[in-house]
Amino acid sequence: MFSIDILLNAIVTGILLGSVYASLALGLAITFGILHIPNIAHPTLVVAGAFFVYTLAQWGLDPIVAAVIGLVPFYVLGLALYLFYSRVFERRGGANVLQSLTLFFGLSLVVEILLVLSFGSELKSVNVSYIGSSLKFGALTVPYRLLIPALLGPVMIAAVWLYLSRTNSGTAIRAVAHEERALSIAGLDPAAVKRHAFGIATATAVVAGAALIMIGPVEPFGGRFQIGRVFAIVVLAGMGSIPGNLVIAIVIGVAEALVASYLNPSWSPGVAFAILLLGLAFRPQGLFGAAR
Amino acid sequence: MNRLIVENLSAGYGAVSVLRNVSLEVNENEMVALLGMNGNGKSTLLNCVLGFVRASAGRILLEWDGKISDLTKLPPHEIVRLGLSIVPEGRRLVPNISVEDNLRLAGSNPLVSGRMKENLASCFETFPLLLERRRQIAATMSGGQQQLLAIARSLMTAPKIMVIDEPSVGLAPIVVRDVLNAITHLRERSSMTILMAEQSFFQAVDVSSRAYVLAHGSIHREFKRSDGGIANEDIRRAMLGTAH
Repeated sequence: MFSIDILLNAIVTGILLGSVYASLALGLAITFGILHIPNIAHPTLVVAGAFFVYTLAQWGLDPIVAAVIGLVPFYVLGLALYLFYSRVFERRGGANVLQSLTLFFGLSLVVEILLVLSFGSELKSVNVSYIGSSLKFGALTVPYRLLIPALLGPVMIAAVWLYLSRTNSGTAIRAVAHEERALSIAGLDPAAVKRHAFGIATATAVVAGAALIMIGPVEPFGGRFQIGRVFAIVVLAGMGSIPGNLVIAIVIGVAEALVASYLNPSWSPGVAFAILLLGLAFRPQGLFGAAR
Repeated sequence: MNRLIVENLSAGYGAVSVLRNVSLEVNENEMVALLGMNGNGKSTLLNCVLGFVRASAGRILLEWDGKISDLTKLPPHEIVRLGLSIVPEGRRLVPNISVEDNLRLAGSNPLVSGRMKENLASCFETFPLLLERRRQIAATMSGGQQQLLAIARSLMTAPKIMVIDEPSVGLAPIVVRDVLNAITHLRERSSMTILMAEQSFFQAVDVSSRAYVLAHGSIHREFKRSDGGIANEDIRRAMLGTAH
């Protein structure tokens, strides 16, 4: 039976969910899309970000405030991770994709184990006054626990995009994967530029983590379910396209919500890949990526 | 005396040695040509000076304002900050950003970023073509235009010495003239100190104060303008390795 209310609710939920997916994928859009480092540990870092927010929320802090506080330590964590990555690989003449994947796979296991050891393996959630209630708009019901995290995504993406496109250090980040030597010629250390970019990417994980734990409870292994989806978003958006990242994430979010409402919720994890395959069949460079 | 000194430099790639015991000097306000046929080590030498290739023996020193810096072990970006700049083989522009962004990127290291406006204005004044095309994506320009951009870019770091690697390679003869004119113009404006590698040596020699001929990885001969002009025939022979 067709109902306009169900359709409308599915679309709105999908847009909000997609906006959260975009937050999750933003770090990967920087590390993989711009730096070409296949950081499959990113979703696990998002979960680590969620636990960071959880910890501060235990002391009564708002999750968004906690995320802002987390930006600096996560940025520093990103610097350290990149330093480790480059020490392991770049000194020996660069990494191939398989080696990097293995490294980051291992890293995500280590992070997961550390989370289990410090927090236990059960689900954790945060409790804030606005989390229980909903915004009602005719037949439309939007829970705040989805609306607020969904607003974080566009704000963070706009900030990162403005930084990358309007500042000189942003230009350096966009340039480093294309022509590393252009940075040396400019008197800039390419390794330092990549480290900084990796730091920013990792800092986005704590904001995405805040979004994740506001929507629902999080457990240490929660990142695994996101890996496929975030890769699908980054690849389909076109490597390096930050605004494209948001658009594609929302398309996937809406498609998942429609599938869950009209077909079967258990199919929705496959939606991202179906869209990815379809999209790449028509535009191999991604929908918003420049042809090379 | 302000100068760049290359002292008994040897370098190579793995087991292949390319440069053997090369010594040369570039003094302030001089334009020095480094001549040689393909595969004799010109690019390797210039890349050693900028730190992109590591020397296996010998030293590269920058003596400027009474301070001597050893460039031999420094990474490229620090060598650039000491006052060398390069127009590299293949230009190495960032292809997918605009002309102006390429220039801005080059002018953004902390030593020179305070004078970004002045440096950018002076680049556009020297190369009016780039001002017209400043919003154009670098990769969409012609080879000659890209070469001019690469030269302009190397000015953004306010260099003491410019190193130019075969600016004529892959360009049509008429465009080569434009590029060499730009370099001459630069010399006239600021008497910029330049070390330039070239194969099409007649044009290079015309604008140079001195020339070295590199053959089989060693300096084969040095020519000075004060010798009563540089005789093209002598250079040709030296490059082919047939005369001393």
